[in-house]
Amino acid sequence: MNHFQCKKILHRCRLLIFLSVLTLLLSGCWDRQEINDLAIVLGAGIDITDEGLIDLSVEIVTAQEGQEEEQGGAQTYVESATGQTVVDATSTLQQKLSRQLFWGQMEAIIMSENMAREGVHGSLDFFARQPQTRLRNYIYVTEENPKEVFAATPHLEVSTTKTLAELSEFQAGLNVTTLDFLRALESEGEHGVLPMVETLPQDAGKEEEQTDLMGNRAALFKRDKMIESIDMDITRGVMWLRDEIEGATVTLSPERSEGLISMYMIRSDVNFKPQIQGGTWKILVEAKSEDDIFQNASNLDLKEVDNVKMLEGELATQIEDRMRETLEVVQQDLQLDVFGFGETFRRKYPEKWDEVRDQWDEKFAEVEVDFDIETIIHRPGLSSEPTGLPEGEVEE
Amino acid sequence: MIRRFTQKMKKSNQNFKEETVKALNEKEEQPKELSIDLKQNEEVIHAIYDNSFDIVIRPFSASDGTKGLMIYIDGLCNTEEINENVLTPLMKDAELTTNNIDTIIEQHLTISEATKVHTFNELIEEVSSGHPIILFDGNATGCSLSVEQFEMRSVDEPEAEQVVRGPRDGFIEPLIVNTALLRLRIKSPRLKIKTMKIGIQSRTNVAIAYIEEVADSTLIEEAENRLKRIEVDAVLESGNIEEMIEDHPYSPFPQILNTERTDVASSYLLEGHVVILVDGSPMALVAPTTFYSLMQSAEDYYQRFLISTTIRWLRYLFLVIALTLPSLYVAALTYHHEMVPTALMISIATGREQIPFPAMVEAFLMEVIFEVLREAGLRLPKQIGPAVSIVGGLIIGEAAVTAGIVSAPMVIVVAVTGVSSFAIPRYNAGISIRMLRFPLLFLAGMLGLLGIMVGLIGIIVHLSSIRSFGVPYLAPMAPANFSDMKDVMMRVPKWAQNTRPRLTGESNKNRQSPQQKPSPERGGES
Amino acid sequence: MIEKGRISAMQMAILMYPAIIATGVLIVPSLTAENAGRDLWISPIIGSSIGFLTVYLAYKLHQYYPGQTVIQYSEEILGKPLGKAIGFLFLFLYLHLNGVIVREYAEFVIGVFLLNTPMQVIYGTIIIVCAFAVRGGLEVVARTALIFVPVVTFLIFVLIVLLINDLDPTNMLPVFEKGVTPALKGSIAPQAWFSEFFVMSFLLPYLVDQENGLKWGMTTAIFVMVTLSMTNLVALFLFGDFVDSILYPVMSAARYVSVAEFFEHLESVVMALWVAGAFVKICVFYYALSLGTAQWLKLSEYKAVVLPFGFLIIIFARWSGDNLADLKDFLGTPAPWYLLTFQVALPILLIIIAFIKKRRA
Repeated sequence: MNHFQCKKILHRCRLLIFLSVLTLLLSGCWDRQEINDLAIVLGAGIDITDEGLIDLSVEIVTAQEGQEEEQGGAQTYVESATGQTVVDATSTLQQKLSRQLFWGQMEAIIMSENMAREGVHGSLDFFARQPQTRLRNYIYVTEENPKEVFAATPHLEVSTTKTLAELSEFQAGLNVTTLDFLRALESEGEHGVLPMVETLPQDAGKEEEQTDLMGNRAALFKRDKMIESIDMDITRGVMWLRDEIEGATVTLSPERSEGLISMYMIRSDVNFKPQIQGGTWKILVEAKSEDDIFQNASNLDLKEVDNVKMLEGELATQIEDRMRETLEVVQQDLQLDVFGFGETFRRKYPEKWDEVRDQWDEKFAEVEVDFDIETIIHRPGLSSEPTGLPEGEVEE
Repeated sequence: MIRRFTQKMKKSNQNFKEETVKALNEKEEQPKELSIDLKQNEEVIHAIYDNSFDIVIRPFSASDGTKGLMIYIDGLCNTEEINENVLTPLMKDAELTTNNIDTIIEQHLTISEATKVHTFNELIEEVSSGHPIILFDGNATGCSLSVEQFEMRSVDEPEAEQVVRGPRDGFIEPLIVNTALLRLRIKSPRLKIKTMKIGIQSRTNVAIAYIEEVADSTLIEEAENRLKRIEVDAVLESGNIEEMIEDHPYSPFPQILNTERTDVASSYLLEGHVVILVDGSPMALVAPTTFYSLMQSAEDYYQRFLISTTIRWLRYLFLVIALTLPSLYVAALTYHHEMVPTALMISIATGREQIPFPAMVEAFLMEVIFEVLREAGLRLPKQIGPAVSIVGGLIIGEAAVTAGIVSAPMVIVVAVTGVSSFAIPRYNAGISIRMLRFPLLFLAGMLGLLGIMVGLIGIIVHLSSIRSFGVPYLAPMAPANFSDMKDVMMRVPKWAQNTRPRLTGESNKNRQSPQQKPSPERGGES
Repeated sequence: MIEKGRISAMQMAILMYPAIIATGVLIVPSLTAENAGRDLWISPIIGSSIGFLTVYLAYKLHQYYPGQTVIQYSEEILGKPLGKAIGFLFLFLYLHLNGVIVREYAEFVIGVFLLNTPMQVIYGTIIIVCAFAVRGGLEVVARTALIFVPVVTFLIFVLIVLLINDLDPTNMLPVFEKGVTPALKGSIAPQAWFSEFFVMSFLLPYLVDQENGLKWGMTTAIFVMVTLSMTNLVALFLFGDFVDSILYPVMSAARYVSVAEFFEHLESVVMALWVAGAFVKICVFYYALSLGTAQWLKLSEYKAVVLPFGFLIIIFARWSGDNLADLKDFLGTPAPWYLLTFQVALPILLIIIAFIKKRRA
């Protein structure tokens, strides 16, 4: 038989097989999901009902076709359902929706305080395991019902979730992603902390039907259970110590003058230096803060090097006070290591750590904390002398 | 059974081949010598050219009284010159003897080129090339006169490969002009141009040009052999030749570069490639070629090298966009919803709310419409072309979006893809890329990004497996040759292009003296 | 000779690099993290010793029997019946290994992206393109790898750069918290991956520049070590102690990227990379399998066996585990010993016998 011809026919057969495989594929499209068959979830809230069921609420984007000549805008609404687990609740939720829930664009998770006090591990697992959601979701705790938070219609953003995400990205409050929180849960020498969010009461100058959000408090966790909430000042202190503070302002009234001076923090850096001397465990907190002066309501002349030096000193004291105050509450009263002191000890003294591993919470309360704070004031802004004061009243 | 079938197929194939060749050659099967008797010759010629009104067979008497016959094709020769420099001396010169053609050519015919013909085959060929033949009674040798003159367009700017900076002359149809244009650029006698005739009916002149000692001798041999194998009845365009000599006929990619530009052809000659010119076609073929040379434009070498390099990279980007953008869009919309940033996703979803088609069908529809518009605009007379683009592009696009049949982002995607494909400088490469979009689109619709990836891998495997005249198509990237990448990853300045590409110019590596980088210290003042 | 194509030693290196790391980068971090904890980045460095050893073995054997693959020289070393048996074992190993690789690939694609797509479709599509490439010959596979590997490596690098903001290097401290044992235990999985370097013995005979084979082989081993160690480090820096509960750390890292609210949600890019890498990996083993079979059966060409093996590989992929846990269990415990026996112990045996034989002769 002619080899060439035979090959040709074989070739044709192969083409036939290939084509039939292609046709088989064409009948596929197993995972195809048109974008307009999706209910895009922006944020999810988890609450626990009195019966112990999970109450899942989601904020969903509804794409609105705009009127002629007008750009269609996005609107959101909240839908919720209950179930034994989060997934259980999801399937009930799905039954209420004509479109498939899509979690891939989610940005925030809000947990109610009740839920947080019960333990969050089981519910968070869904968001870490499910292939659509990602670990960069911001997590919040709220004293209210998550639904109410989602129902807030902020002035500046389209949705609650967007507002929360933007707030977190500014780092005006704490900024904790699922990953950060899970990492803290997994770690031996650190406890988790989550920001708390609340709706703001009505105020003059706001539109009636719109409410805004604020998140400047925090919830402290022991393992996966919430223990206590702390107020704004302590939260700021925690943020200082966790080196998460950014764009903070500090106002102080200098000793040698009258009035206040406000500074804007450009950069800050906080490091822990652990030390074990005999039986005492010590932490040296090294903080460095670089600031600019934004407002000078005192009569201090900031051209003077001495004045700036003095301000730097006072700023350092102020920061130290803030941190001490925070430690008093968190370390002494609550005994929750949310700063990662344990982790730093573990890194430097792995053997010693082994001994206290299981009683770290008690040991934590005994750790002595020293401070070494360096502050630099770079520039006095655009005017050096206090504005609007006659020459004679300026303190040199 | 298969065996019998194949045998039968083969037999019939062979029979068919023999028969056609025979039929085609039939008239020339009797390569008769010219006879001494003019009358007899005249009869044969009449028989060959019966029913051909453009053939002029003009009898005349030479000045010594012998009968003469002149045969030519009206419109192919310069009749004035025939009158003045051929007929006048033949009929008026006193000492003319017709029994020796050589003396006639030497002493009487005042034209530059004249050759002797002995057979009818030669006669026919000369006549059809526009050379009049004169025959004399009592002489079995004719004389062919090179006084051809026919209508042709002037050498003008190549339409398909325009440049802002660079020479404006392009090849035109007659082979003789094209070879002259090549000679004008490369004056070295090492530029060799061989010709052969291809096509049993058309007898088309095909020329192979190369530079001796630069082009690999095996390459020249291979090119000649491939050309010699061709047995067709006619060659009307170099595209006919291209299809007969390429390595992988089923591949969607052009494996032989075609160009209208004389400077491009010359530059390839200088890199050791072979250029094939076909009479009657303004398109020169360059072999071998690689994928990356399809991405290069002549102007790259005339503009500043940094700019050319940037533009080359832009082209690679546009190549990827032209190939994958619609499929990526479909994949993102139907499989990978998280790929799109939230805000964009919401606005796309808003736009798609009323669209009746799934994304893949929508993309397919729009792509097909785009191809149709392109084709229609291309073929229509120049006056109507723009109207089609306006009606098609603006009106249909706008109306379709307003009516909610297609979504606006899809129109943008299709438009961007179309424009990107036009950024590929070679028209035929652009078409291949555009056509490959469709299978990718289907794969994207079936398996999302995985499908696109599988498709791309398939394309690249195919590209790596094909060769053009022995040169791997993806050279010099794969197999990698770092010194040759100087003309792919970037366009190095002229003073750094010291060596020829390895795969074609290996036999004569250095093309210029090294270290010619200009600098102020080397300036002329001293 | 069955294979007429020739590749350069550098091309071999470019083939071998993804042939090891393609699945390694994705699965090894979580396998090592289970045992090594915070020392998971040390494990690939320890494991690489096996890589260097295997490269050396493959090269040495190749030097003893130039122009032959392991299928051919095992016959010369051990005599026909025993050599054939060893050859069969190697072929079976590569068939099985190929099945496992295809399975890993499909598990990843389905688990992360195409949840509802039947596994056969995923198997089928990749096997079709691989068969297409393998039939093209060694040169085609090498050229395709040359196009993909730089892109893949570059994108991995970009991914790491995009993550820099979120990395916390202190996560790696303390080093050797519980001594060297966890890192050693963790290095078992990387060792298995490193032993796959033995597939090089199918490529070495076809090098243009034989003398550079060892140099480039070792270079690849170093690059593989650096890559594995670096991806482990990145995973550790990003996830801390959480790293051992993540199935595909590199993948999750890509999902975590968010720069300027635009470069985010990059998991699809990772999948694209992974498909390209897995393609090269499957091709290399598929090629070794097809070529080896043709040599074992003394066929005149190997193209005829490519497609049938494609089907067999799919079947083996189905057999290689009941579910993902089963597959991971296999990869974590028996697989290293299985692979090390075949690709390290057996070659050592061969080389000793070959050495003695040469001495006597």
